[in-house]
Amino acid sequence: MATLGDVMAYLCERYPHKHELSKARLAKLIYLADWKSAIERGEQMTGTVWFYNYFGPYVDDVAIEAEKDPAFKVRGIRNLYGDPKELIELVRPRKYPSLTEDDKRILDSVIASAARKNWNDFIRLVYSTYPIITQDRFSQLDLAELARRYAEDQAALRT
Amino acid sequence: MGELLAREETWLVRSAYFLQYNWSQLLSAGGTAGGSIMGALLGIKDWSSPWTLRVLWILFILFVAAALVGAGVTLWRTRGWRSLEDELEALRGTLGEIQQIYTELFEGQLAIFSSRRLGFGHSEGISVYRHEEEAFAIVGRFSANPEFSKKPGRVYPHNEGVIGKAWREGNAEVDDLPDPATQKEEYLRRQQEDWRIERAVAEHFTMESRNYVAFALKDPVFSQPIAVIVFESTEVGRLSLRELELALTTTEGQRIVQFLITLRSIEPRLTYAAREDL
Repeated sequence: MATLGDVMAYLCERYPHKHELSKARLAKLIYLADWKSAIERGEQMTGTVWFYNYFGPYVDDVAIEAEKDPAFKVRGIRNLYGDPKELIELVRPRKYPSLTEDDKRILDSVIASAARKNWNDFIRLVYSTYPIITQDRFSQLDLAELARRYAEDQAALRT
Repeated sequence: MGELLAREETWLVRSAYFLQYNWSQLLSAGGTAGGSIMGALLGIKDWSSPWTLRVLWILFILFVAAALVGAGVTLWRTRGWRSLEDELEALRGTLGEIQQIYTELFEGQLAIFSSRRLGFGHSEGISVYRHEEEAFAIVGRFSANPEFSKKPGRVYPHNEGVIGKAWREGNAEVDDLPDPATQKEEYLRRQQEDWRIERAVAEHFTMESRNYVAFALKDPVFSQPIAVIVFESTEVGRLSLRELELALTTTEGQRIVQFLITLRSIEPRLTYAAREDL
């Protein structure tokens, strides 16, 4: 299983629009990678325990990891309306020993999907995933179990 | 003749818009071209007539001034466009925030409909399902009873239950399902035999209803079904198809349809994620 730090570093390095990588966006990119991994391989890429909170799938682990690992820097900026926003940047070269080639393929695919979307289309993508459509807010999301149910539902639809 | 006029108007309007948005660039380009020609004419020939020389110099100065004014205005306007682009990006961000509370906004409409118009209590609930390819996925659900507000946890095949029948036939009603508290087996059998709902699915219902009324919600312009609304109660004899059909024509009922139509472009859809293999 990939470590959260390695996945964050890979995304920070490969994501083309660095100025978009806020804590919220990075957390949602990792959620998409975990969900895609659950669909394709039956298990999440990271060991993150996902919660569906008020603003979709979110965990504090991403922010904690960014503060803890010196390879990352959390930079506070303000948006056009003066609201605070925190960007996560990779400030030191870092390897990703826990990532397999298959993990990287999934991450590249998530980056390709997300990078061509503006914020509202990106949010629509996250909210259109099966776990968010079918589960209640403030619940824990067992992505592996939900991927199994998603496959079952799709199989039922084909019969 | 009318067609010709319409075409001329379109052409004129388009030209006017083109000029409105590009006049400074045109001025700059024209001034640069004119200034170059005048400069060339002044340089390549020794003009004997002082009048010709004077006119050429005046034209040269006017063209250069036009080029400078055009360039200056273009720069100023471009700076304005950049700020508009920033504004647009900020609005997209705001839309993203609305996207995140889409379900809450929609369920707010269901809550108003349920309490103000229908007077539903803790035994009733309303759900709306969107038809997506071969399935129905929940858009929102409301009940005064928090246990009955929980999402079903999966999508339903399009040919199952009252949802499927309402989608196909416009409405569906059932008012005589056995009490699952005392006749669980019979309840599950009826769900399976009458409504094609698998036992494994019915066993996990968060709301074990005995009385259902469902309608296809139609686009008022095209009269095509866009979703299904399901009214349900854990008690028999609580729901009337005729009264609920009338309630849907009221302001609160129409708001639900209007919400689905107006915010269609930001509504979360399984197919939107499926297109990205997610």
